[in-house]
Amino acid sequence: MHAHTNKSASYRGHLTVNVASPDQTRQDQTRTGSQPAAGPQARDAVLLGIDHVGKRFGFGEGQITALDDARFEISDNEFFTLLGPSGCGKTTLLRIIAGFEHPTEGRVLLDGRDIGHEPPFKRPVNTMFQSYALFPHLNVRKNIAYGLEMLRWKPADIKRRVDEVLELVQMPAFADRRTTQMSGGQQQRIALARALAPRPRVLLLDEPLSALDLKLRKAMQSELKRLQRETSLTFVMVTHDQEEALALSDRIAVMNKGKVLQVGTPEEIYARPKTCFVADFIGEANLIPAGLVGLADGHTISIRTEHISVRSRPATTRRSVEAIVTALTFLGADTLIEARCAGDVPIKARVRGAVSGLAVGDRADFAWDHSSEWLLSE
Amino acid sequence: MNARLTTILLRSPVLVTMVLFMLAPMALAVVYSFMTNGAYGGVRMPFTALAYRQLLFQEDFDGNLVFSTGYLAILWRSVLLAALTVVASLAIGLPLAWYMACSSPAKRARLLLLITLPFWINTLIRTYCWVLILRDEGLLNGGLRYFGLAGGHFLYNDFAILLGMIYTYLPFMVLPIYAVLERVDGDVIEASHDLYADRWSTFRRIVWPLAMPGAIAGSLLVFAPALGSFLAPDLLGGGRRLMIGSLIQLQFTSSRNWPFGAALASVVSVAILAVLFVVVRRSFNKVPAR
Repeated sequence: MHAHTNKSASYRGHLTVNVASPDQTRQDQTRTGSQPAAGPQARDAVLLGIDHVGKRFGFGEGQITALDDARFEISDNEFFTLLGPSGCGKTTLLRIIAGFEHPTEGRVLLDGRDIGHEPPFKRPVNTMFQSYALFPHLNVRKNIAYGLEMLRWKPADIKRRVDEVLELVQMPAFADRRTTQMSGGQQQRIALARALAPRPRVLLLDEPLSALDLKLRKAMQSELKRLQRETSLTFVMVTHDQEEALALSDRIAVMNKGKVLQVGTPEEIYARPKTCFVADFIGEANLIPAGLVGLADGHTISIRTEHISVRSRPATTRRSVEAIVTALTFLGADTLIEARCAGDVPIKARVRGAVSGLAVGDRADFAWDHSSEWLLSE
Repeated sequence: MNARLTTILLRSPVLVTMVLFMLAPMALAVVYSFMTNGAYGGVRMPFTALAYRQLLFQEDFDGNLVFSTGYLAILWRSVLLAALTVVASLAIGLPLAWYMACSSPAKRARLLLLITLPFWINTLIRTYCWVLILRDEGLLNGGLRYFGLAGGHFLYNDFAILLGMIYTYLPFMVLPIYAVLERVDGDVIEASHDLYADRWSTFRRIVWPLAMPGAIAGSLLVFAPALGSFLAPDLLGGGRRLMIGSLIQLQFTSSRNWPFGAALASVVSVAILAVLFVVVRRSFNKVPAR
């Protein structure tokens, strides 16, 4: 695996420089073929185009940029995730796709048609709300039928479709129940069924798993993946949970401060982050100034914690830094070793099993293979 | 202390309040209505149903009883006026409550204060202000004339009474509806739009059903006092068109016919309770949608 910088980077070390371009990214995808979720499905047809979309609130000095020049394309049949910390603009972007907000710049293209300024009730896009937003005065069946009634489906078709989606979310016995008497997990399935029922072109999921407890969350993750496969719909999910994003998505857009920083498959984003933020946000990465290991200054290298080994003697064949251990945390399967190297730069290593012969305050050598480091320019 | 006694003791404040302030006065009114009229007001024995006879029949010159619709017409007119007040305040109150529920929390607090502000001023004074506005030389006519428009007689008609009633009872409609709508999750409205419902459909299918419990409570709160009100009919209607409230009030003051006043009051109470009974039963059957 080779390192990779931005176009602007002028690094001339012994690392191979790879200039990123969208085309190349796509080639990488096909070459590596490491998309377990992609399967045999074609991923060529562009369904949703986010074309230089920006959203600004307010005027003049008090203006806030919630979203700045977002652009990417989502293919038909894709599980796409907008990932970022709170306030990064991911929810604003989702609301723009849904039609609850209108972009101040750019276009939202659905099947090539600009829908950016259409009201939500004219878009073949449905949302599963974070709060579920079920209609409290309607029972399960009427909740799910609502969209179909608005689309003026025939009553017989509505009944058939409601039964079908209830089957799909494994809640067929709940048709005549009141939604207010149901648990969070059950309500979520109904909300999902309601959004799926009208067969939207795009299904939007706003932090779908955040309100569930850990066990239910794991179950619902595989459930969502299954549903996406079975319905062959395009899912666009918003989340701040990188694990969730990695587990579910075909592709991820990492966002911060209103900007889309990187779009790529989970593997790409994990192994080849473009910026320090992405490296840090996805999994645990060590960000070490390149100068510290004898490379050109001004750059940063990122190494995943699990790629670092810790030993008492310096290893000559591999890249290494000396550091003083500040904490040892036993995590069951792994032990997390935290340390500080020259210039007070923190470094963390995650090693298998328990660690013996190492204590806080010890001087140790943190080493890794050249192949597991990744050069960042920002 | 055993559980049964605890239950009774815990319930007693509610029971005492209800008996003392609600049941006892009503029972007293019913008892008075079956007694004989005292010469200088008040009531005396023996028990009689004369007051109720007076409600439906009149004695002609020969002493025969003739069925008379005079008092029933007044009752009917009052019910109609109260119903109109309910409809009008619902038409104004629902959008107003919805607007308030959709506002930012700071704005909500301000609007809520504005709505309740009139409660701080005596109803008599507030109603009299409408006289100043509506009379021939009042603010409204002055304003119209200022803009070169023809004025008119706005005071002392049914319209003036209705206006005064709506003005007085509107807060009783707005507040319960607002209380219900305020708790509605805004996402529910967005979900409706998301599921292909335009604004009108969303109002009809989501907002209105969710506002219903508040609208029912508001309607009762407006209807009951509107039916018995006498300030607006007297001041703004000029007392020429007698309403049931004024009629009852007259029996206890100038007419000095307490049993008849009590009988009228009892009939109104029964009418209101009947409406209440029907509405509450219907809404209880309706709200838990099955």
